[in-house]
Amino acid sequence: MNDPTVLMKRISCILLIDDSEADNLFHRIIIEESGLCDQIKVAENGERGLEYIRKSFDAGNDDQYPRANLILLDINMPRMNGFEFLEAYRELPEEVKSGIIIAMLTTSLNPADRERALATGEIRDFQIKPLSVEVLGGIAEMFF
Amino acid sequence: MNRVPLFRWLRNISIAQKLYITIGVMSVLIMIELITLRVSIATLSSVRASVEAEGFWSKNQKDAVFSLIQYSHSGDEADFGDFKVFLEIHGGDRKAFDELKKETPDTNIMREGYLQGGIHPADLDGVVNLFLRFHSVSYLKKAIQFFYHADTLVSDLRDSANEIYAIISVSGVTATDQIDPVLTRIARLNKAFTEVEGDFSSTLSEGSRFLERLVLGIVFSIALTVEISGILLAITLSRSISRGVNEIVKTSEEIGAGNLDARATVFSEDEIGELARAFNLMINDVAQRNRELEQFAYVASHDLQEPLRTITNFVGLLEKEPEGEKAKLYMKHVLKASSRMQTLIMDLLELSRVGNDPAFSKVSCHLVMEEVVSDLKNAIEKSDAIITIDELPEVFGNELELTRLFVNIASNAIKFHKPDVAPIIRLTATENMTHYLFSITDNGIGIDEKHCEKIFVIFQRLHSVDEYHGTGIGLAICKKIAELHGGRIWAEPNSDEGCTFHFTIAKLAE
Repeated sequence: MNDPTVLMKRISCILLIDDSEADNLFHRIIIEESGLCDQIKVAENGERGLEYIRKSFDAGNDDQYPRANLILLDINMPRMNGFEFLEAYRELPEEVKSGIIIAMLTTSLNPADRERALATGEIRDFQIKPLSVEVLGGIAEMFF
Repeated sequence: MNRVPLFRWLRNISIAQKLYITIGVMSVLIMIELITLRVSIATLSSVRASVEAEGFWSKNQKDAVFSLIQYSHSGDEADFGDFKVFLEIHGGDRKAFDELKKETPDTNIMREGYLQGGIHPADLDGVVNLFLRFHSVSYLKKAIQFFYHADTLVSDLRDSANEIYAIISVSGVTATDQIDPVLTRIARLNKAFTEVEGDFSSTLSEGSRFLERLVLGIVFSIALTVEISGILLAITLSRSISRGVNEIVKTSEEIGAGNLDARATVFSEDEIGELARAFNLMINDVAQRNRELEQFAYVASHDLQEPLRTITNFVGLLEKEPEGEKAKLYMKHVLKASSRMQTLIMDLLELSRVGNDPAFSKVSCHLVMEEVVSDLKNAIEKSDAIITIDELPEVFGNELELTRLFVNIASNAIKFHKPDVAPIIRLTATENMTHYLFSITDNGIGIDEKHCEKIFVIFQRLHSVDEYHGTGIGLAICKKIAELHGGRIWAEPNSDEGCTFHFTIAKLAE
């Protein structure tokens, strides 16, 4: 198994983009439990997510808007869903996107969604909810 | 070169027309065959009558020569009278043939002549027609020539007879030395008669044999044409029908085996072609619905799993930490997710029920709205909503579903109000030739132009559940109901604030 002490704190900040209050709470508990990351930020839809990424870049990684280096992205969200978010994200300047890993974390069992997500090139991992300490550890080991 | 457009045309007319044309062509050919047979039988019968008449003429000619010889021995006037009978008969025939030579022959004179020449009255018309129609045909032409040759022989015979008559009336029957050379001449004439009579009848027989062959040939070729064209038409027709039907059968088997991409080729523009086209449209529709259903299954299972997963997650946390402030928070999420799941299932059930009750009747939209307002009484009071309803028409539809449609649209208008602003909602109705148009305007949070179509797709929400409650099924139900009533539904933002939902309902005959 992964040794949390080795991986610890390598993920500086996780941004959860998800509209579900319950899921965000649960994921926060899991992330805290894993001890892999101290800072957790939440955006309840794609638009807010983009807004946070821009703000944290402009703010220069200050305490209020730490730069996220892992984004856990849901697909099914109101206003701007996961795919629409990815389309807008692709248009961001490279320096804004540098150092950011995006993993999809969704309930979609539709294989078409998985294919579509991986085909975008922006998605590095595709995980089915719920997030677990093991899954998060795997992501940390693979990308950080 | 002409065959191609003809066959194409034949392929594209209706099956009924194809059958009528086939039967029509057959009938015309059979009529032609019958007419040919009728004409040839009549002609052959006239030839027979002419040969019969020739026999009668020959017999009388022989009798005349015999009477003349008898007279030369007896000097009896009665014997000479028998000779004159023959002259009468020949005179009749001659009268008819002379008339035939004229530019416009008088058929009455010809009939008289032939009757006198010994033609049976029943055969008169046939014989007259035969000579009139075919007198320039080589066989008849030759026969007529033989008749006129015989005519010169008759006038020679008459001269000889007159000579004998003169001898006997002056010198009596004893003057054999004077009579004998005349009789020798008559004997020679008689031989010449026999020859020309033979020629005449054999010419007619030859002609009738020719006619027989000709008629047989014509009848046989027409019969062959009838059979061949009948078979060809039948083959073309049945092949074009069975090809189209087989194509549809083959395609439906393929579709039955699970290949929803199979389509029937349309070979013709007739009923079979139309059937193939309608069949393809139906399959397009089925395939489209199938795809939608597949997508729906994924989306529905996703949305149903979400609250279930939340429950599992938090129950797992509760197991580890069953008491305290955190436990209360977890429990709150479990309860919320359970009630959401219940709502989702109820809404899905409602959506699946739309259209199950096909009973349409006259529905007063005014009464429906009264019921809607009383149903939404709590929500209206809670939000201080003001609802204005214009005069509404009576429509033809399903009352239960129309009520559902009005409830969903009205409750949306109340639900999506601006924070701390009381909703002001107005319902109006207009009509055109074919539809009633209902419009519900509000002063709520409005809707972005780009989301106006998305909101009618099932499970699509513009707001998080925590912001505005909803399952994303309500407007999908509205769309289905409007479409079931021959109408459609759409939304647009208002220029100042809020938005307007429009839907139409077809005016149906009762």
